[in-house]
Amino acid sequence: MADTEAFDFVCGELEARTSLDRLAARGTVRIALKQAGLDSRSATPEQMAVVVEKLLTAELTNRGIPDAASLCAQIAQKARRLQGAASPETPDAVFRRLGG
Amino acid sequence: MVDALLLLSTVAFIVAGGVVGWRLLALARRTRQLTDFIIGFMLFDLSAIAYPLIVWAGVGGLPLERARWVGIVGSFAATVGWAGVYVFTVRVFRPRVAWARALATGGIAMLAYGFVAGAQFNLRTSDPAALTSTANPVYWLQAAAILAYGWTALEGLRCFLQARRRLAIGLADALVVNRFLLWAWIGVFALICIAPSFVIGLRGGDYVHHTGARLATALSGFAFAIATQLAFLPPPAYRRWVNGGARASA
Repeated sequence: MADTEAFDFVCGELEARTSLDRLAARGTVRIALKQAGLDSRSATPEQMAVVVEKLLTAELTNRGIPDAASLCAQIAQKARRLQGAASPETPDAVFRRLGG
Repeated sequence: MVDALLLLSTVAFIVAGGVVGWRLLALARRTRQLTDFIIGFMLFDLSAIAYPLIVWAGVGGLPLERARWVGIVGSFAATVGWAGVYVFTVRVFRPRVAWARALATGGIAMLAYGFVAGAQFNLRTSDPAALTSTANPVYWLQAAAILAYGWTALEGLRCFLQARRRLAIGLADALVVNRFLLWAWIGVFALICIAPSFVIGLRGGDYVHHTGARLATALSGFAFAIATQLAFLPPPAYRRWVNGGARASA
């Protein structure tokens, strides 16, 4: 199963706007996603935006990326504008519905 | 004392599972979602059809011929219900994952073997005690059910741990997170309902009259009923408590 467009977008932005190479950018985003209990194959644009704002900033700061907070705010804003592809039904969606 | 507890627990198990299963079937009619139908059918079938029939066949004091057929119908209902546990687990927690499909297929094959071999055994035997003896290959059914409940409990726990992290950053609903945990407990309690009698039976013991097994079944039956109710028909006070706890820790 492929990574979502939102994940690829955030990684691409990091690669283009920081000194991180492709591998490091994707690895850093995956670490932030894991901290949030999310997966690169199912993360929606909104989820990616929240992870970028709340978790990625610290990861980038730890890697010595300057002005990480401002960069993340800009990437999150762009990520929110992405159209989320129709993703397969997640356990969250099923268990939310089952509660009535 | 244990008899009374077991009777109350049996009633609680049947009523809670039956009511919640029925309610989820009604939900499935509205949503047209196969997953909703599977869990609703599975809960209703196992709690309100299979379990009462199996108990009736085992300890109902029925004549052999009737006990044999009640047992076969109950085993069939259990086979279908437990197959539903496998299908639900793979569809919801591990869709498109090869090992999960293989595990579910293997589990359902065990169930089918247990049912067919158990039914043939029940039709052949002339000894009422043999219906619940270790010689009865219906034990394959119980083994497959233990595997299904253990697996779905682990998946529920995994999702709970992941969702708890999302809750901390505002990406999850506290009730849904709690429902994953309750689902894991439902799996554990259902497993405990079966496992002691399975182990005692495999060791050649008389599980029908074993006090420890009966007590474990009674207590886990109560716990199953409570967890099922809280997960899928939570009272407003419980909803407030879960949401309040999430807000307090935010």
